[in-house]
Amino acid sequence: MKFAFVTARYGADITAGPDHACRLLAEQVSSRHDVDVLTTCARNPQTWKNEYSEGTDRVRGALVRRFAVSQAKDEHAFDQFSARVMVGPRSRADELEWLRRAGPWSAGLIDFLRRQHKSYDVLVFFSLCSPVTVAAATLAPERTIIFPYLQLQPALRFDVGAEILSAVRGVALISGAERHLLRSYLRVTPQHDEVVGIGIDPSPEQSYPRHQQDPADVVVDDEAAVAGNEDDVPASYLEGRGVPFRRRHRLYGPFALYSGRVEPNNGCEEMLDYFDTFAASDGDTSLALMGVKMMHVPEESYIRLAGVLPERQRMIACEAADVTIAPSADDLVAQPLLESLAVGTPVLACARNCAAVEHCRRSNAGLYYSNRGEFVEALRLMMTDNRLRSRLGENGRTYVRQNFRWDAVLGRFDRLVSRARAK
Amino acid sequence: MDHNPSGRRPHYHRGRRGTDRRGSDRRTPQQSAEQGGRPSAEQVDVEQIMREIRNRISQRHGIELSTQQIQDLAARRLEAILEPRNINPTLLEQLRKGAAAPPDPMPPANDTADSFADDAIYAGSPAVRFFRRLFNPLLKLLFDPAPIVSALQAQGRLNRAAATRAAELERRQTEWNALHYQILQRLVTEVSRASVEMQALSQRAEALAARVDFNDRRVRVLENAPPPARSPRPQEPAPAAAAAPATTTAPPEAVHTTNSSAPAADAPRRRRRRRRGRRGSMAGTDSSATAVLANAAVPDDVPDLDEGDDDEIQEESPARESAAEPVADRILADTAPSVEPSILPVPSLPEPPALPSPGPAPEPLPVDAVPERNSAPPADESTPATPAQSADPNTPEH
Repeated sequence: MKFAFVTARYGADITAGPDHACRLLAEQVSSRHDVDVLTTCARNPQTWKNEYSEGTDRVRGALVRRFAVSQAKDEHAFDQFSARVMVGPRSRADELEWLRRAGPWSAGLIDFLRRQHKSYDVLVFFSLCSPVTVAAATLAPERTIIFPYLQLQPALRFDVGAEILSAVRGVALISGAERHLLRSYLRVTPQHDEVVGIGIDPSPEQSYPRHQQDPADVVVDDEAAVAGNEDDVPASYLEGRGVPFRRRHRLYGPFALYSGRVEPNNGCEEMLDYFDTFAASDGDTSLALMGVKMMHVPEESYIRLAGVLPERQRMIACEAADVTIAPSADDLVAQPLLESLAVGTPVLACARNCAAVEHCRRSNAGLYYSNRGEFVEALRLMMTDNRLRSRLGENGRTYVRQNFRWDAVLGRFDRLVSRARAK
Repeated sequence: MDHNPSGRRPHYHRGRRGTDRRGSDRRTPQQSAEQGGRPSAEQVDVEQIMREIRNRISQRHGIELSTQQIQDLAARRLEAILEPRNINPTLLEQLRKGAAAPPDPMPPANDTADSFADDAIYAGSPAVRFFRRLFNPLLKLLFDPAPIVSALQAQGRLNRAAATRAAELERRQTEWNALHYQILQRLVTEVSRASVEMQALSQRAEALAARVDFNDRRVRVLENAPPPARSPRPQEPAPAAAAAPATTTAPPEAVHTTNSSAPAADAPRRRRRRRRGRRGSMAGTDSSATAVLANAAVPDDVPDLDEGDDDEIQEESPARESAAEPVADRILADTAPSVEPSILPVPSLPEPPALPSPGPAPEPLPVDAVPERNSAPPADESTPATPAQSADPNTPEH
């Protein structure tokens, strides 16, 4: 089968939003099918400037066709137009114009889809709020699947979104929270829908670089050390996982981990503020920030900047952490959360993120906070209660193993595709 | 191969506080074996934990009202705001109903109801209709009825449009009213919640202030009590014993000004200076309660050593101070006082000199009249200051 994955931007350095989900899924599907990723040359969603080179490229097994963005985003004009459209009465033309101005509008990509859509068996669009999706999803609705990436935002009131979701053959969801919006808010009953999600495949034995494991890094229990019973010390090097990360960043005590871009949009300001309150009462716990630093981080002794780490190191860091914090309120993909659950580290998620809360509730592997008091109490509970943390971690591993391994995710995706293609 | 032959804790564990902090056993197979695979995994209920956390937070904040109770409280406040004497009761009822009911659907457009047909002006009984049709050409000679018909039709269309607009406006107004009522209701609820929290916090602040006040008084009482025994009397029992009769017999003014007694007077003077300063700083506090607590802390048969007059007496007569030292020791040791009444500072003692006026230096006392432990005076104590001088921290010492 030949798939066309249509998304607004595509790249290995894009780690959030529907584009991130598109890349993760395209890389996996490309191992089984022919996958063409049709995208733009944009990288920054604030400006939609052409940053990637136009043309064909191959990124991790997927053929990527990039088309130039034909209209740059005028932020000021867009804000004015948005204020008028969102507040007053609007027509369908206004909605389409709003989507076109929101960008990225790529006439070349839409023209390519108009000409070449018949050469693909399945068209998979990502994000309902993309003008490319709105313009091209109805070209071949009988072969179209949409990942709408639904979030409670003003554009969700547009009628054009509900029309498209009703017209296409299949709707794939990243999280179960989207289904609630789809049914209750948009009042759309799609022809076929499925919660696909993304997959996490931690392969402990292979992903862990053994050469980094110092044999002396075996975690020694205090009682065992005092008693001198050497047989109680586990000999397997897996028992010392996470120790290199702790050693590298001098994290010898308990610590919580944040994985992702350190920027205010991800809820980092709120997290740092809340953690400061927590640290005032529990000065022993550190907070490790792993990711690109895009904002001012206070110079506190309990904050450690781990920088940008590759995927393998990220998993090790998650394993080393006692708790992982997921402060983002609008990340439906929630990859850091799932990675943390996959390695048995409980999470503390932002309660405004419906997807994260759903993961926590379904897995019983994490807590969530909606204010400072809940953050402090939940974090204190998880940092001090070893037994609870162990149970949460075990639940998380089971949850990911049963629901979010890539084979399970691809199975759900294939099932949706087969149902959508059935006559 | 033994990777850790010494059995020592690796260096990266040095910052940890035992196994309960890090949870190093969380991924060990031993723990899984203790739990029997994963029998306890099902016992964790995240929502229950979150409920407990929220309950804990609310209890800590002193909010004991449930959500329903807060809503009831808000409803009462809303009744007070929406006073029926100021607002039409029917309007209030409409607002409530509008807030509770879903928005009314748009009425369907009915084009045929108010339409005006072309032959409507000829309508009537069959006979009348016959004659009207008969004389219609004559009528058309006089005037053209078509504009009348079209005007009436246009008027009908306008009426329908106006009715539609009015219905739409009314529907929107109803929605806005419902929205405003909802907002007002939620606002009052939040205000009620905030006021409950504020009351709880104010009570907590009062409790903390009372605790601080109590601790302050307690600190004052403890500091006003005599210091613990510092005399080397146990090491030097003989001089102390020799000095005891002297203290009982020597007149206070005779003991006061000797050079050898200066070190003995030094400690009370320093202590007294501290008291004076504190007394000034505690002017706004409850001195009566302090006195009560001080009396409560000191046994009944022990004289009140914290009185200013007594201080001055002790300052004036170090012999009495030295005699009072065992009493202080006994107070601190909470034992029964065995001091003879004659050596206790009682109100019947001679009147001390006036505090603000430093008088002339008294006569020096013979050396043998003071205890042995005070026999090494410091060089700067050759002319001891009067109690009044040392009591005022702003007064320069001579």
